[in-house]
Amino acid sequence: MKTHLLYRDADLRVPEQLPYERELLLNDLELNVILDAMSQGDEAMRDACRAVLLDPLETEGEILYRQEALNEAIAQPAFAREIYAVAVETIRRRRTEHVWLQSQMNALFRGAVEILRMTMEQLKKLRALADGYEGKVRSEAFKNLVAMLRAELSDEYFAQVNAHLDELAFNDGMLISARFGEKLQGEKYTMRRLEKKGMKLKWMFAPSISISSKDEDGLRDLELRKGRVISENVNVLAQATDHVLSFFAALRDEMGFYVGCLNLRDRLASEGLSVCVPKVSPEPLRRVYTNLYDMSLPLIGVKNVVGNDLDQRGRSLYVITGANQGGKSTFLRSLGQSQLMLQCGMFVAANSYTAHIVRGVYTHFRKEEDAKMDSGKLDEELERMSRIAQALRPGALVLFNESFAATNEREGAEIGRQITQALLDSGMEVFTVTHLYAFSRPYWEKRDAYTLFLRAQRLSDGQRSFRLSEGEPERTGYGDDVYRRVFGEE
Amino acid sequence: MYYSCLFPAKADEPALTRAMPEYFKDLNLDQITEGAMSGFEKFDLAPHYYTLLRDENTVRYRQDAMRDLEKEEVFARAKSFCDTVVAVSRLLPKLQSSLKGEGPLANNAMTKGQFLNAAVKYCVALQEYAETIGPAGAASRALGGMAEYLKELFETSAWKEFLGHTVRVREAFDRQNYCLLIKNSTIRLRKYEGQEDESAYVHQLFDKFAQGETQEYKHTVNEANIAYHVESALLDQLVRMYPEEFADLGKLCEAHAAFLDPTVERFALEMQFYFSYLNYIAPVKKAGRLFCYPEYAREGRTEAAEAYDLALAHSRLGREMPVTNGFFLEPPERVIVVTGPNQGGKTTFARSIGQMTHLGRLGLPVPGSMARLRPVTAIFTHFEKEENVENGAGKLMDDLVRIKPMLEGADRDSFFVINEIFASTTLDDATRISRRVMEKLLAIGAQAVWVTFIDGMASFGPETVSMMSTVEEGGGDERTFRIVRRAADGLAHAMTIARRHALTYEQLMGRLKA
Repeated sequence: MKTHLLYRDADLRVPEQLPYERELLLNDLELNVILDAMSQGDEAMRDACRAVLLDPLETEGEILYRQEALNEAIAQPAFAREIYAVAVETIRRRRTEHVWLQSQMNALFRGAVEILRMTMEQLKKLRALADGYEGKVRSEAFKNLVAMLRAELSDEYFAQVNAHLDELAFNDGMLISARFGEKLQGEKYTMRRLEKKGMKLKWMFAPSISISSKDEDGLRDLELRKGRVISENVNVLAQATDHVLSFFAALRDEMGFYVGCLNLRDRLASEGLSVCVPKVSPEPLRRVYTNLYDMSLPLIGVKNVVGNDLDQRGRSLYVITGANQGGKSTFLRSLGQSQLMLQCGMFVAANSYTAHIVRGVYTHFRKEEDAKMDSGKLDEELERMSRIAQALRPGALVLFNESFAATNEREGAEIGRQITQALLDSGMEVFTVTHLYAFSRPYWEKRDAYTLFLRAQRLSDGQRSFRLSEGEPERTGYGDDVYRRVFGEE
Repeated sequence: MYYSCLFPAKADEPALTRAMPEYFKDLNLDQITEGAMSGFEKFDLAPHYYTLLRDENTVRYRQDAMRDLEKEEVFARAKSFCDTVVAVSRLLPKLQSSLKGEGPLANNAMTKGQFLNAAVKYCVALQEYAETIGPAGAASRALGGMAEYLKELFETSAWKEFLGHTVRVREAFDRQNYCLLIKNSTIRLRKYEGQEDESAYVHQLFDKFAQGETQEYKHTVNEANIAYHVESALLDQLVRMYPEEFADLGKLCEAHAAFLDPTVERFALEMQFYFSYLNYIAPVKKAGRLFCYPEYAREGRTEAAEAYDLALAHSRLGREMPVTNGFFLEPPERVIVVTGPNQGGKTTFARSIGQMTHLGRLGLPVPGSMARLRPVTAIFTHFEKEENVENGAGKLMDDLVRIKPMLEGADRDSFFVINEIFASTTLDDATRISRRVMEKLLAIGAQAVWVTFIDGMASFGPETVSMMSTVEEGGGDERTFRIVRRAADGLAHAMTIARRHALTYEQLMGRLKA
C-alpha cells in the first residue's frame, strides 16, 4: 500500500542527515524561516517539508502532478487536514498508550498484539474518511489514495486480522517445530499454527515429559523455550506493527507537505502578500518573472519588501555587483528559493514566474567570519567549494555570494575565474555576487551573449532602491555610503 | 613431510629465548609484544617474540607466510581453520573422558551430540582449508604446505572411514523435523506434520503496509537452555523416536575417539604467532600507517622509508598518527648520529629503527614503507636512566659499566641504539669519552643509531652520518617534527591551496566530467 501523494510512483524519503551541500542551501537561502512558517512547530511536518523542498523535481510531469494536488488541497483544505490528523493521532497513540515492557517476553508479546488492535481502529477511521470523500476529490494523487484505502481495507480484512489476534492467546498450548542442532540440541524453534480438527486426540498418546512444580530450573527452562519462539514472533509482530505504522508515517509525511503549503499560504495572505503558480519553461536558460521577492523577509517581520523583474534568455552567467546593502544577497536568496519552490510543485513569491528546470541548486555564500584575510579562512572556503563540487552535475544552478574574497584581490579573482569557468564549461548556470573587480572586469570587457551584468542601484544621494538593474561593474562597492549612514560623518 | 608453520624443518628450529631481552623496554618492544599477545594468553607466544632468527631461509619462510596472511581472504580462512582446530583440541580430552563413563554427563546423548559436532567441524575445517587456501592466494610453503599435507591425509583409509561415518550420522539427523506441544508444564513430542508457520501468516496479513525497508528486531535469542536435565530428558525421548540414528552415532564415538591429527594441532597453535601480530598492527594499518618486509644484505646500502614507533602509533589510535621518518646509510657510513632540539622526536626516531631491526628478524612486517637492512643477530641498547640521578661521577661510571660488556660482546652483525649517555658530566668530558666509545664502535663494524647532545659527534668521520630533528611548518596549522638529513622547505599561497582542494580549472573540469 503506497500513498504516493508526492511522486506518481515513488515514496518520500526523509533523510535523517542532510547531505552537506543541502545543509548549506538551507542556511544560505534562509529556508528555515519558510519551513517554520509551514510547520508551525510540528517537527515531523517540518522534516517532511524540508525533505521535499531540498529535493527538487526534474521533470515537468512530476511538477504538474504535485501542483494539481496542491491546487486541490487549497480548494478543499478539509480533506488534507483530516487525513493528516488521523495519521498524526495514530503515531501519537502508539507512543503514549502502549509502553513496551522490554523485560518480559510475554508482556512484550501481548503489547504487540494490543498495538496491532489499536492500529486496526485507526485504519477503520481512514476507511470512513475515504468512503466520505469518494467522488469528491479529483486530483490524481488524492483520488488514488481514496480508491486504495477503500480497496485494501475491506470488512473481510478487518475480520481476518481480529480472528488471528484472538488465536494468539494459545488456549490449546503452543506448537513449536524443531530440528536437531549441531550438538543435537533442539534448534530452529518455530511457532506453528495448531490444526483445528482432531488435534486433542492425536497428541494424547504422544511421548511426553512433565516438569514437576517443584523443579524450579526445569520450569524456568520451559519458559525459556517458549520465550525463544515468542521472541521470534514478537519480532514478526513488531515488524507487522512497524509496517502499519510506517504506512501512517508515510501518509503523515506526504500529506504533511500539502498541509504545510496551506499553512504558509495562509500566513503570507495574512501579511497581504500574493504568490503565484509558477510555470516551467521548455526552453533552457529562460528566466522571466515580475516582482520576485525574498519570502523569508516578510516572515520575519520586514515590511515593504522590494521585488525584482527580469526577462532573459540564453544567459548562463549573471555577474552581480554594486552597492553594499543594495539588495544583492536578498536577490540571490529570492532566486534560489523560487527555483526550489517551482521544482517541488509549490507556489512562488512573485506576481508571475517562469523558469527552466535546473539540476540541483547549490550555494556558496561568504560567511561573516570570512571577511578577514587569512589563509585558514580561504582554506575553509575552498574546502566548502570542493565538497559542493562533489555533488555538482551539468544543468545545476550555482549561486555565489562574495566567494573567494579571503585572500588578496588578484589571487581571489584568479581562483574565482578558474572555478566559474569550469562550472560554465561543464554546462552549469552561475549567479555570482562579487566585489572582486579583478574578477568581474574581464567578463565585462568580453561582454558575450551568455553573460548578464546586474548592479545594485545606488541613487545619486547614496540611497539604495534595493532593486537590481543592468549595469557595468564598478570598482567600489560604495562601502563609504554605508559608513556615512551609520556614523553620519564625512 | 610438513613440520611447522614457523620453521621450515626441525633442523631450523633454534633454541628459543624464554626471557625478555634486555633491550625490549628501551625500544618499547615490551609494549608491542604485550599488546600483540593480549587475547592470546593461552598460547605460549612470548619466546617467538623474543628469539631473533639467524637463518635467512627461516626469515623468508615467515615473511612469505605473513605476505599470504595479509591477504584478507587467506587470513580469514586460516584463522577460521585454526580457531576450529584449537577449539577441538581443547574440547576433545573432556569428551573422551566423558565417553569413557566419567563425570556427570557420562556417555549420554548430549555428550555424543557434542562429539558429533566436534567431528563435523573438524572435517569441514580441514577440507575447506585444503581446498580454498591456495585459490584464496596462499603461495607460501608454510600455509600452502599444510594444504598439501592435508590432501595426503585425505587419501588415507582411516580418514575416509572417519569422514564417511561422520557425514552419514549428521545427514541422518538433518533429515528429521519434530514438534513440541507445550501446555502448562508438559512437553509432548511428535514428528512434524506440515503445520503452517505462524510468522509467515502474520507476514501475509500485514506486509502490504510496508514502506521501504523493514527493520529487523533480532534479539539475540539464547538457544542454550539452562536446565540440562530437561534437554537431556527430551533427548532421551528422541532417542526412542529415532533409534537407528542414535545407534550409528554411538559407533562413531567408539571407533574414532581420538581423531585429532598432531601436526594439524601444532600448526593451529603456532599460527597464533602470526595472528597475534597481524591483529595488533591491523588498526595501525587502518589508520594509514604502512608496513613492509625488509630485504636483508650484509653489504651495500642500508635504508628505510616512512618508519615510525609502532608502540607510539598504537597508543595514539583514533588521534593523529606519529610522524614517519626515513634514513639511508651508504657504505662506509654505518652510524647515524642524531642531534637537534629537545622534544624533536629524536628518541622516537631511534626507537623506530630499533623496532624495525628486531621485528624484521622475527620474519614479521615492520613499521615503514620500505626497508633494506643488515641481518642483525644481536641488539644492544643504552638509554639514559632517568631515575636515580646521582652525582656526575657515579652516573658516568654507571653508563660506562653498562656499555663495556656490550662493546665486548658485539660483532659486525650487532646493532646499537645509544640514547643521550654521558649527559651527567661536563661537555668536554662527555665529548672525549664519547669519541673513545665511538672509536670502539667503529672498530667493531656494527651499525648504530646514536642520539646525542654533542654536535661535534655528528661529523666524526666518513662512517658517521648526521641527522637533525627540525621543527618545520606543516601543511595545516600544526607543527610537525621530522628527522632529516637535509632541510625541507614549504611555501603556501592561494593557488597552492586551491590545487590542494582540486579546484583549479583543469582539476575541476576533470572532477565534473567524472
